[in-house]
Amino acid sequence: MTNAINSIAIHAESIRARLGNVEILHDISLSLPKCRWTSIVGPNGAGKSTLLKVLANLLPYAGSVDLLGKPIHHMPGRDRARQLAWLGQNESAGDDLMVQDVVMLGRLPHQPWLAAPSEADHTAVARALQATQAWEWRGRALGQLSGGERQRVLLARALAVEAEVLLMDEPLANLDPPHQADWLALVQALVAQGKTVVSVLHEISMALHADEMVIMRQGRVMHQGACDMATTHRALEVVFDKRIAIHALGDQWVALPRANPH
Amino acid sequence: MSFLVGAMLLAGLALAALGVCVGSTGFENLLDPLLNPQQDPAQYAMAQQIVWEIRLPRTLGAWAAGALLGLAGAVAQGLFRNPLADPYLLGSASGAALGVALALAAMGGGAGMLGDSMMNGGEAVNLFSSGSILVRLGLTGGAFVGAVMAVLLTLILSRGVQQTLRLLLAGVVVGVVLGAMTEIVLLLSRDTLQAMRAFVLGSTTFVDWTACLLMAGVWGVCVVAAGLLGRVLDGLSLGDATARSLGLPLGPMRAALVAVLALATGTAVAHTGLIAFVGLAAPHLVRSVIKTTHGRLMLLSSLVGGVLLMVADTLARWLIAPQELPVGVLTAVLGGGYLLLLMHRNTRTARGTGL
Repeated sequence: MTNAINSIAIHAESIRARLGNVEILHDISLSLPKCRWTSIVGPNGAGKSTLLKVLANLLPYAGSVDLLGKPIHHMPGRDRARQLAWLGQNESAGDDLMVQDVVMLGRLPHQPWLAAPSEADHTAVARALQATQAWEWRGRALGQLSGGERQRVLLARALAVEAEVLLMDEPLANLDPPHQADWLALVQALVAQGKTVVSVLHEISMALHADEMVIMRQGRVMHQGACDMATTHRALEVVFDKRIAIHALGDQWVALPRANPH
Repeated sequence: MSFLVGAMLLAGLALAALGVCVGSTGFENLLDPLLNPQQDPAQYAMAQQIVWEIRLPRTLGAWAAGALLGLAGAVAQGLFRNPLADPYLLGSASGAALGVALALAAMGGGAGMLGDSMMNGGEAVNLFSSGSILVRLGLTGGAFVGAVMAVLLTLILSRGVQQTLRLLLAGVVVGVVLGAMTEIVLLLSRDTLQAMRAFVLGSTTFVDWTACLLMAGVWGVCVVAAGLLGRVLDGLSLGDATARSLGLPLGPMRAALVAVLALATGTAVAHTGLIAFVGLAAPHLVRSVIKTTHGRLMLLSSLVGGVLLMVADTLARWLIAPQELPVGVLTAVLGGGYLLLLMHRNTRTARGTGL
């Protein structure tokens, strides 16, 4: 039993969340395994981003969320921020900040207020920038970068936190195929180091590379299981109205669109 | 960065020296008699009096007020994540105007003098006579209390600082409503119109050493507070959710930023009236030269604001001497021109400003 608890990074119990007057998440309970990569998929409007925000304690919600065995709601902000990094989707970005200043913000939870960045901070920033191939832009303003370049800088910002748990919402947005492949390798390396990665992905073929998959529809979790299991694939096809089909290709799984069944 | 700070401080010093030499009759070198007292003791005494009692406090006061507005502008643009935000956004301008209108209407008599000395710098000496100190105190107090009350009202209407859009809208509503109330006050006491116009245009004429020191003191407090809050603005520029995910306590931090904004704006407005565009233009001037963190941006913007208002103040006294232009007119012309240039450049480079 203790073993089971120790292997859970995030545990959510009876989560309800609303945006405005509309309830987006209806009574969600789930456990995300530690040292694994879990991808969250589902049709538009399933509540994936909202769930991710709730798990990061960024939205008000009913229910309880435990991060690494402790109730996240009662954690001091800085403690939580050191253990959990969050990368958002379509967040406004400080166009006038320099890339290295943006990535250094990821070190904020580690720095005493007003203290100058330490050696460790500089190392972490350099490592994050190199991991996303953004090192050469460190002296440029964020506003001067293209969408994909900016996404890599924001990814470096989240990596620089060096948190145990990394939540990412559509991290592949605007990335070209080589950098999508790089991101895949990066996530697998993080998991190999013992980090936990949770990502919302709309590209099913990318999501199928994960270890574990959470499938959502209309504010509910429809299925959770390993990505290489046939039941997971069937559940995927069902939530997407059988308009996709999962095929094996070499050692990978791919989701291909299927013509109207009629 | 340190180069820019040095350049701005140097420009400030040079302008202070120039400002000391520009009086009601145009350029008049008083540095010479000041630095060589043995040459002509009588001239030295006169020069000392003019410089010490009128020109120096006024010139330094212009710097302090500009520095407050520049700082407030950078805070407002960071807080609202909008490059067109200015320090008067939270209703402080119309609040201060209403405060002054009420004070003028209540005092009646003092109003005429305010308007007169506005138009003629030479008569500013009159303001040091005993009666007008009370008047000035009333006006300054009215403006400050009005500005702070308006910001508080905006905060109440927006139910706190959690949502910047709501804050912005509440500020606009408060501005419009208080503006209408000011008009009513002015309609009811027509003889305050002239003095009111002087306030709305802004003026550095009435700044004495007390005002100067007060503004400098508030500036010191605000610069330290802004330095402490710079990282919050950096975090906020990546979006609310990201800032919160970094463990920043947004509520208290936003409240502190609004407090800095209100204090800096209220103090400047109380002493110099509604000087336009300094708060808007100063941060943009800095950003067009250097991309940096908000902590540094706020400091630089403050220094640029000080230099800007000093230039405008010196020109206001100099251009049509012995007449004097209201300094707010000059900042509006300079700032408006700059804004047009900025818009032109933005459409040409076709890069969104994040509006």
